[in-house]
Amino acid sequence: MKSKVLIISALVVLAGCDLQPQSGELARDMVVQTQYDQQSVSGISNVFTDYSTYVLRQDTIGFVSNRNSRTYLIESDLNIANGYVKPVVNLVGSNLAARGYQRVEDDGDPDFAVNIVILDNFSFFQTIQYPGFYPGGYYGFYGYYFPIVTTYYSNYTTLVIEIVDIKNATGNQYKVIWKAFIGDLNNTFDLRGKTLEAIDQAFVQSPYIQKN
Amino acid sequence: MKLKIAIILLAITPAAIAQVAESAFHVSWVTMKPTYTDYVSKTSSRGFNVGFTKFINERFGAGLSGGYTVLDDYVPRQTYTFPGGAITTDIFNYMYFYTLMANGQYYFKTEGLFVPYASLSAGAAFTEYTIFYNAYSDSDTKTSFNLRPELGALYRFQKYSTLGMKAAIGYDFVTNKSEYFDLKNFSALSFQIGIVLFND
Repeated sequence: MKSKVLIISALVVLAGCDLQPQSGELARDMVVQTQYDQQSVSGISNVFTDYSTYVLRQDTIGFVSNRNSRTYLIESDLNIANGYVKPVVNLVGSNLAARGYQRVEDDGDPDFAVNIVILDNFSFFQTIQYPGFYPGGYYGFYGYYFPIVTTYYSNYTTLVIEIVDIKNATGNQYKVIWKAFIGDLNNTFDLRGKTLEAIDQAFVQSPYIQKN
Repeated sequence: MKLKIAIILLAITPAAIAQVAESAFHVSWVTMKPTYTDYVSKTSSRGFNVGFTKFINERFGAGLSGGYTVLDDYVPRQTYTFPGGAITTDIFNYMYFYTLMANGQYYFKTEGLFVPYASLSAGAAFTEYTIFYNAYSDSDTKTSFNLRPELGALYRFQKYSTLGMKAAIGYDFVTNKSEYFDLKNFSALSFQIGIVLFND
């Protein structure tokens, strides 16, 4: 009887090992998902070709969390070697510059706005249904809860980059025409380096973001 | 003289063609090589099978068996496009495969320690397809029909010994296609080697 139990136990242990990928393997690279508004970018037309200027908030990244009341982060909030907020903002800016767009101030009549937001404790890839519009102002991180969150609790933290159309706004409705989701920010051994790689990838897989 | 020989043969025949045993219990280590490779293509040795056989007579037996195998594969980082966007990630495809089947067995030999057999198993398969990408995962679960023809052999270490072993090769065909992951029915070759406990 004892030998039977031992044999069965050994086989169960043998068969049961390595039932999931190792966390180190999973964290090798971040997931980069991009979406564009198919009315704004199609085979016939592409609004990005008509844009010239954009506005992007410097030195801050929006922050939405269901376990923290902060609404934005600055460099000193993060304590990451060589910084995080500034490199992220600068890299988004340099990618846009490489596509032919010029950064201007709020009052410089921008064609589009870029929002960079960290969503903490949201499962962004799976659970948020985007209405596609910001009601009211196009700029600012407040009101980010407007997307309809269908389920809660998760441990995911996601960096979101959005492009909001100002040039073709109707009334006070500003359409979100491009979104990049980068994650998971928790599940990485190199937050800064892997985030920057992922930002570049978001633009690589969005070749339609290009000034004429 | 001829009559004597005939009587002797009749006398010893029941012993010579006696069935393998009353029953047997086996535990086997399973190696599975997928023949449908769209989702997982790597051979996996992370499986086991347990079963009970009732020997009906010297030629036939019937039984029940259950098994569990984990198969996986890695898809290197690449960009997938879809209407309105794209996603870049590497993916770990995992398949958790459980079976519970009834079987009938035919024994090619009726004497000796080495008994080759053929069997046909049919029953239920429970498949969980899970993809892992970074911290995220996505799953689809299927309950389906499984058919497994099998060729193998039982080997009893000594006449009337409790302990023996088995080796077998089988082919699993499973109706577990997944519309969610756009997968067709799974099939695989399976190799078993295990320990058999005979009961006389």
